[in-house]
Amino acid sequence: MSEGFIVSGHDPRFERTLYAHVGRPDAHTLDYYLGHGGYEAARKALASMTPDEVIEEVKRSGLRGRGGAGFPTGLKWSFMPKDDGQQHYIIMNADESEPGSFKDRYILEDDPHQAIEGMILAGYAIRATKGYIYIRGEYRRAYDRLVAAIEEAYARGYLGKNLFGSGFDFDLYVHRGAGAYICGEETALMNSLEGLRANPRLKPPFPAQKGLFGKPTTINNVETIASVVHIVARGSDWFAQMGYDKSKGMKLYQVSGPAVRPGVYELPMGTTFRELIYDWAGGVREPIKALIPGGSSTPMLPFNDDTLDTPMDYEHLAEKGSMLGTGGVILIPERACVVDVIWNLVRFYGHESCGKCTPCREGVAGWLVKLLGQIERGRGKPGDLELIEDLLDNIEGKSFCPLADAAVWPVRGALRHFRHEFERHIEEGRCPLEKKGFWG
Amino acid sequence: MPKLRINDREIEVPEGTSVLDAIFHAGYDVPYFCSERHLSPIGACRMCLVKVGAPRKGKDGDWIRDEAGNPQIFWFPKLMAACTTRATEGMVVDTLADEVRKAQAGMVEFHLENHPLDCPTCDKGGACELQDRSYEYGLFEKYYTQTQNGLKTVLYSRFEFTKRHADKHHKLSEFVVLDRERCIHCKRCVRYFEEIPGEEVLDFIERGNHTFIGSEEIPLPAGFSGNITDICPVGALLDLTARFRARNWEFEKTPTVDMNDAFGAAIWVDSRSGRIERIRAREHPETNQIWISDAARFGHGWASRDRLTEPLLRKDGELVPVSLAEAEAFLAERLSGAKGEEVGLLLAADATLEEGYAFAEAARALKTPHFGFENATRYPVANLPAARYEELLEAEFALVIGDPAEEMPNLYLRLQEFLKGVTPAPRYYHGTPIADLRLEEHMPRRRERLAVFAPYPTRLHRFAGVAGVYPPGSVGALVGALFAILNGKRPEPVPGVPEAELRRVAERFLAAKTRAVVVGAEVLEAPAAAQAVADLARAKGALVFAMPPAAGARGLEAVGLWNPKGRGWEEPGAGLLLAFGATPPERVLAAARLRVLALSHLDPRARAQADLVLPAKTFYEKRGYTVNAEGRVLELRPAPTAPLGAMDGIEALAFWLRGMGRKPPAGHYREARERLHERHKLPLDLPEEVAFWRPKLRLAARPGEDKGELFLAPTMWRARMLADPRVRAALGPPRLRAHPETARRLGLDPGATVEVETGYGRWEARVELDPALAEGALVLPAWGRGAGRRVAYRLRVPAGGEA
Amino acid sequence: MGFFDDKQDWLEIVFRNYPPENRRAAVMPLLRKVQQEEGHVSPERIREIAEILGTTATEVRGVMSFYSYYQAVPTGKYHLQVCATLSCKLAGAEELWDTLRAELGVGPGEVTPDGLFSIQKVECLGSCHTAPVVQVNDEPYLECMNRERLRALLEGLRAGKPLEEIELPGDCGHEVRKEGA
Repeated sequence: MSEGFIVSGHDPRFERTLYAHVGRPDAHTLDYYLGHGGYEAARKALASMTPDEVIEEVKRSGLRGRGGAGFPTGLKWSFMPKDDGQQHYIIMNADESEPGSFKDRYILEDDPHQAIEGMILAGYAIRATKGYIYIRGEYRRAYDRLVAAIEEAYARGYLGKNLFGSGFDFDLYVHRGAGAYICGEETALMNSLEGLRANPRLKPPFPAQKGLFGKPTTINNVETIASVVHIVARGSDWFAQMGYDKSKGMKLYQVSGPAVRPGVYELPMGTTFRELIYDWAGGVREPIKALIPGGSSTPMLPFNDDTLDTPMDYEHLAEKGSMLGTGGVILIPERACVVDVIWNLVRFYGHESCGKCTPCREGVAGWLVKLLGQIERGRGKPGDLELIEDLLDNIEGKSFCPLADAAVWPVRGALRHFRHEFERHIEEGRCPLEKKGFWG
Repeated sequence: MPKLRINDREIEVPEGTSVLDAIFHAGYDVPYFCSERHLSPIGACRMCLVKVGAPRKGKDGDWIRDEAGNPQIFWFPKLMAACTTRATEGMVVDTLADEVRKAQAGMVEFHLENHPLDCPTCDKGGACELQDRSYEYGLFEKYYTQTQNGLKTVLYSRFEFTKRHADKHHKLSEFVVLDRERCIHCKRCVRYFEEIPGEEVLDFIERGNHTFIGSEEIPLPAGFSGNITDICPVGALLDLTARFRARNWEFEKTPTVDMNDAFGAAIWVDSRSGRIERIRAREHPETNQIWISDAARFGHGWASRDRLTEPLLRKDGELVPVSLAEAEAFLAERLSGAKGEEVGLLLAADATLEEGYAFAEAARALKTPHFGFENATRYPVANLPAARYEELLEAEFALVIGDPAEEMPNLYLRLQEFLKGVTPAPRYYHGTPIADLRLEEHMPRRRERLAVFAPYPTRLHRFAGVAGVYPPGSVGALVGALFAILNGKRPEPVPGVPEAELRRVAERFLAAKTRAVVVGAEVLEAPAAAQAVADLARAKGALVFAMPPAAGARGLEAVGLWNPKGRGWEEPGAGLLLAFGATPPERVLAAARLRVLALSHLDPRARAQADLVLPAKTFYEKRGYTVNAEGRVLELRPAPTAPLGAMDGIEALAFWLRGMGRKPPAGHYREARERLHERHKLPLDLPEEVAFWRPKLRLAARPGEDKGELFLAPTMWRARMLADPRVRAALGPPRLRAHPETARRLGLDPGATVEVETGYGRWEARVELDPALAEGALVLPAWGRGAGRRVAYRLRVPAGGEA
Repeated sequence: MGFFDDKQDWLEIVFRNYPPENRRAAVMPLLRKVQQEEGHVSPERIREIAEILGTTATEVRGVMSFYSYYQAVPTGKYHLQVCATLSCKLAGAEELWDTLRAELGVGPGEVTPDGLFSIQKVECLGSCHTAPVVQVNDEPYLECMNRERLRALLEGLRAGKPLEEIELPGDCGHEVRKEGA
């Protein structure tokens, strides 16, 4: 255990950082934060590192975007132009909306200064003197805490002009969403921030060339930016010790559904489902048949030993035909109907489709929802599954942005592992599962 | 210039070309709905998915090569939307692969999913892109056939649920109706409004599968709204003037030129059974691109109603129908022994070059001082240099004095393009780029490149870095002051315009490498100001775009219809009068003893004063040429809608001269054209892209100066268009705009209806206060007559008595 | 009188968040303000916002209708938003919704006759571990809702208690962990 990579929360070398203070009283205040080493990473970087050194450090750490796509963060930062004389922007994507994901909220609620410090570091690295935090509109407490923390930080010189005497200025603004999952897509987010309809934009130009208000911009997830604080504080080697080859660092995993202790768990990348669910989340409260490994867009996997022993990281989950996504694990109990579950998720994506491109608007939001509903209601016909699969082919990889793919993947996963449930619906002309009130 | 391969063809395209245009350039086809020429590519409809591969460079900077030593092609993992993918060196595009075919067929099916099957009653039927593309790309055998009772049947869509239902008759204005069920969400109309006229009056509402097109600005502002009916790929946006008038294949489609203004916009006249049913924009990349104004499009109703079909002769005080022979005999009798110098020959503003030539030659032969054309300005526009519209896009700064949105609406759209900083697009074998990657949604407008001055706030004002409003009559002072500053002299003060603003304009003007000056009718009516502009252009080097109120002005002046001595359309004097195409002012008619008018329609003045009325063709029905504001020679072709016996100007003139016992300069069109060509060497055999006629002229300006207080503001709408109730309903009563102080002084209440009478006619106008006007200003729409002039007026409230 | 007439200071603070040449970026905060105070965004407010931002009412409506938070029709004093996405559904969101409908006698888009309540099914609120979740207006979430907690909530609201003072009986019935310890 003490040799090689840290891939278990039980490893004595593992120490929690991102969530070390979440849940502690007053952890959201500046005094608490300063009392626990707060803003030291920013002070260190601004005093003794060049922006490029910060980027290099992040590159070396192997940090990949925690919003779901897993793009290497340091590389993304290096796309930003240098010395171009333009205003640069750093945006924190706090529009956490993927069903099964709720990790970023508690950072903002209980440790907002960690997010602010991360923004200072990211802003410094990409030479952005202005930052926006795009927070989903429903996160009221997180918003209140964040705004209060920013005010505190301004009042005591941790935001504003000439931070830590380095000459670096940084202003931070908060923009609230208003209920649109698509704003998690970075270009849609920029449109939303600019006061336009939140349709995704064309790439190229990429945000690093022409982003918010037409200026070079980088957008990172909350967890990603918070991770940077600890990479700078403890070094890239410390970070890269955790996880397997290409999936490095600590990760915030989430468990929902009938676990004994659903919640957020900070663990090394590569921790197995078994450890997460049984050791940390305390096991399950009822028989489980499937799990969704990383937020609703990731294809579900059967709840068996093979799945449970799979390390949760980008590569191992890809091998299983699924994805790490946001690390939001949803347990699907035996009593739940998979067709109903998938219908629910596709309805979600249909509801959140922006309507810009045809396959998503007509295929996902229109047709797929109707077909799945028809099957669940017992009106499915022979051939419907083949039709669905053909539609999935016509949607997947053909939409403007990945939202339609996110709707396709869970259907694919369900058809791969639970096709029999769909077939039974069609054969019996009804949903074979007795609907019991969940409230007993 | 990247070289790439499209299927089996190697082509070379300009840098920045989209794969979509590369495919068409190579002679292959690819379906698309959301892309449209001159609009930003957005990749929304996903119809143009194709297989794309490209070579990659290795670490050594050289291409990674396969075993044969050729650059290895790395295929993109997904199909790419051709419209938003840039063509790059060595790229390979496959538009024929099975997976491409399947994706396109699948996308057609998605498009048809909620599209109603009402093609048999849809005005777009037969000209519908969705129909065409469904036939061409939708029926992929593998997926679109089913076996029923042993028979193979075609399946258009496997969607078996109820289609989305929405408002099918959503009226956006008097001119445009929206059918929300037919909309396929291509966003062309939404992008059009934001990107072309710069008015964000249409947008998607809601999202996802509920998304629909909506507006909070209903009725849509009349001006540039009609173009959305042309570019809508389906029957969702339709021209209400043509609703249910014919199926597309039943129209006679005539390509000709709009003669409502001097821009020379290319149009299609769609007619059926002798009626003009619809006007559409015709693509002319160098001039109007694919856009026309609402007046040009929707203002055709007058031409097909209440046409004069036979000669009318006044008998016992009444105009009664007579035969042509009787009309001829009447003329012969009344013109016998007539002296040439008594004769007045007047031509409408939309006359062709050939008509102008014939009238000019006849006037010369008769040695009469009475000749001219309608709306001739005091300063001859032909004296000013002309620039190509596309040259405007190369300029760095533009100074506008006037109201392009109304005077030459298409030039306004060109100015919008100029503000976006877009230069002329390359031309491909298939023409204009369909997906021009230089265009983006919400492009910032470079306001600092534009200065606008007018006697009232124009549509252009809010786009300009410097925008000023001066009192009518001060245009000379404005130009003079600018001229002084540019020449380093102290300017005289200009009312309403601070000197600092003028200095900013001058500074930017001088700093720009290429500049443009756009001037309207008001400047052309002030000879000193117009001459200053001409001198400025010469001395400092500037492109000049002049917007004369007469569509044919440049050409008519150049063929000899310029009459510097006066006694033209406006001034009484001729005893024996022939006017073609429009009715001259009352005082001109009143002064003549014989009044022969060749008109397409009888108007009240003609009914009261004409002795003989001959049926005439409208410009839609004429054959001939015109010279537009940039000096380009454009060809008019006749729509088959003229009543039998309707004359063009050449025929009417010949008819008149035969009555005088004289030989006409040309008996018919062909002869006139030959003579004209002989005399002026027009480039009639050149393609319109390069056919310019810009004779260097130094014509004398006409003396005189406006003295009145009422400013007649240029309008894209013409008085004759108001014969159509739909146009009247859309425009509402004319607005008499007054500065609040002026209104108070004149006792005008806001909202009150007053009768305004000028030398050009009488209007019931509604009083509107406009604090943006200069104190003392009173502005009335000109509806095409006397635009840019200050005239004397009389005001009456309807109850009677002077206001 | 315009909604924002007496909120000029507030507007100024909002506009400070965006570059001066991008005034329309403030459309969302302005819409939120109206929604918060008036329970919906009427066409008059849309026009007012358009004027303040220098854009058209069409554009404002396009943006407004894109998001699920802004309402075009009036809502009750307490707008109850029930998350119905997967984790909440698995924990009884549908029963919660049905109970709420039966209890209040209103459907989506309606307001109870006393003007107190309106209801809306919403998509994932991001609190899957404390499902099912309800959000009242713009307030922090109410977690692990069940019949008893719902009843207590409605009673409390009807009695005019501030939301934070309403005590919901019981708990999630399972532990909830969010801290890393």
